[in-house]
Amino acid sequence: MKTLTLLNLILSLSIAAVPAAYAQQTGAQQSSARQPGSIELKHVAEIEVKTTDAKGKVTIKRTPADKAIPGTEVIYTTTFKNVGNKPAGNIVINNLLPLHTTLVAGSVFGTNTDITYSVDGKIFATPNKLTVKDQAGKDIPATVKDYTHIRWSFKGNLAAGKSSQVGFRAKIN
Amino acid sequence: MKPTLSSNESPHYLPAVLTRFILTQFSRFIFKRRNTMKTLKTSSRIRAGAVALALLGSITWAGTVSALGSASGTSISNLATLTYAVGGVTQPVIGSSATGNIAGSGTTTSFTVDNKVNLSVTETGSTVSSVTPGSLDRVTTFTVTNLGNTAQGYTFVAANQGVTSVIATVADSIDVSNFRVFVDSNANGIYDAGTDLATAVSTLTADATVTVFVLADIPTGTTNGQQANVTLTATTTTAGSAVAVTETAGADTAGVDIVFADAATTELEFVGTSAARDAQGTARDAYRIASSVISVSKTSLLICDPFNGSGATRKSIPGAIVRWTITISNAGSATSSASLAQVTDTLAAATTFDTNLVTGSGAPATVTSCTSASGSPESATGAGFKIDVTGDTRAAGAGGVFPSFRTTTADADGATAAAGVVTIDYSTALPAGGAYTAGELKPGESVVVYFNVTVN
Repeated sequence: MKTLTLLNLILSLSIAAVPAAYAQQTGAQQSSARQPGSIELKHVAEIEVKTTDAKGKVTIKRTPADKAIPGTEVIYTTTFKNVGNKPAGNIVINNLLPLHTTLVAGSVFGTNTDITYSVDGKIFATPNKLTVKDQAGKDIPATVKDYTHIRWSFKGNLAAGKSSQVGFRAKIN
Repeated sequence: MKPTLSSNESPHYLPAVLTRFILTQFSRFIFKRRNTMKTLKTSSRIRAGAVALALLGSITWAGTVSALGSASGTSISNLATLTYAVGGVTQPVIGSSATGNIAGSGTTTSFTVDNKVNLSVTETGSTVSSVTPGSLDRVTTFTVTNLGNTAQGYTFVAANQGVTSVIATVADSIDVSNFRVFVDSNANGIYDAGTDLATAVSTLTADATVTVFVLADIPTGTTNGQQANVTLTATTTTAGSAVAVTETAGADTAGVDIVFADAATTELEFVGTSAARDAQGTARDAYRIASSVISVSKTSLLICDPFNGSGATRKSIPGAIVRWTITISNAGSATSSASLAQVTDTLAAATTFDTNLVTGSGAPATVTSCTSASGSPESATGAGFKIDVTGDTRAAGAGGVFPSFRTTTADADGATAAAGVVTIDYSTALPAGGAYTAGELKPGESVVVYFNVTVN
């Protein structure tokens, strides 16, 4: 009886909407399809440090963002690895660019990805399609300084055990 | 990550946790009965939309962005979010972390903006300061700008440069003394002796500029055109203290580290030499002596003797009359007027002052012309002096008319001869008026005093 009461309770509640993230159920749901945590997502901020050895040879090494003063270029790298046992697809990575920095033009990278940008967080498009309004209210092409988001859409699947990287450089204001 | 409703659905919704609980319970119940799960019907459609939730640059920032850089202490954070599907089934969104995250909203990757120390010290006016020998508390002016991203203090040292340094084409040849440095506390660009008392800057915010004065005393005995080149060096300190900042050595710390970012400067006209990355800045200026260039000459001319008169055969014998001329000149190259005072001239023992300034001219037949008593005065009896000024613009009511004759006796006309001593008081003889102060001899002018003596 207890369970029926519970069922009644549930059915009597009008669930008008379900938070989108949890709207997982479709017609033929298999419990094995839900595999949270198949991808490990790592995001680091680094800067390049030049060292000159006794022979005068210059080596460039990456260290965690360090001595970060205005004007320093920070390299953000996102590494995603398929730690599950099935291929992962439809991979999309989004990044709301950090405040107090300016994106370095031409620095956005991502092997095997389609890269789009946004100036408002709503519309994502390639650079040539993005516009902002000038002081007169006219539409003018958006520049790197106007971008607020970057989106990488990974093409195809990431096989189990494989990883890939995307990233960009940002200069501290 | 906070799940959100997409668009304008009916606002009836249950807290996520409760919903999940109910669904779990419900599914558990169903599983007991069937092997497959029925579609959970809801009363309104959900747009299980593009779970592309770009989010959280969860930023905490302690300061503001200045024109020259984000304030130190500002935290810069970034998060990447990833959506994916396995077997065509969308999976929960993953947020990144610096070490690698496999579930949940992740942790932002953050670092702190460190303290960038940079400054500039600049001379004001791009000109040297003109000073007179022996003058005190002469000012040269500089500005200091905080080019870093954090408020700092500054301490100062002013110093003489050596004889190899050149500013505005003039080489250093003298040293000034008694250096003092004062901050322009009322920011009016002028040194106010009773007000500008601070000798160091306590706090200068990022991007701000402050004016600083260097005071020095000028040595006596220096001459027109000599120059003392000086430097002002500012050292950066922790704001509110006089302790110089030091760069954070070694690896980054969790707090705000200090990085010296000042570039090296090479000596130029008003720019000083400063090494790179030492949190110091140096600028130069100069004190140049502007004085009169005085020369004095005394010449004599035999104008007559009692036997030969003023003719070509006149000789310097007892009874002869000699005209003396004392000339004081201020060279045209001088950059300052002279203010003449008094000149005394003791006459040779074997001569007697001619109180009448006789012309002494006349043919040998009228030798009485060559005597003080009966000769013809240049001007009038008793007017033993003639004073003239050349190269000047003195005129009536504007410094006096010249040539001018003065009496021999002690009076207020500036020229006296008594007991074998001639005394000229130029401050009286050259009166004030028009563009002239009393006794003033401008560059390029000469004053000449004429008087006669009889050879005993």
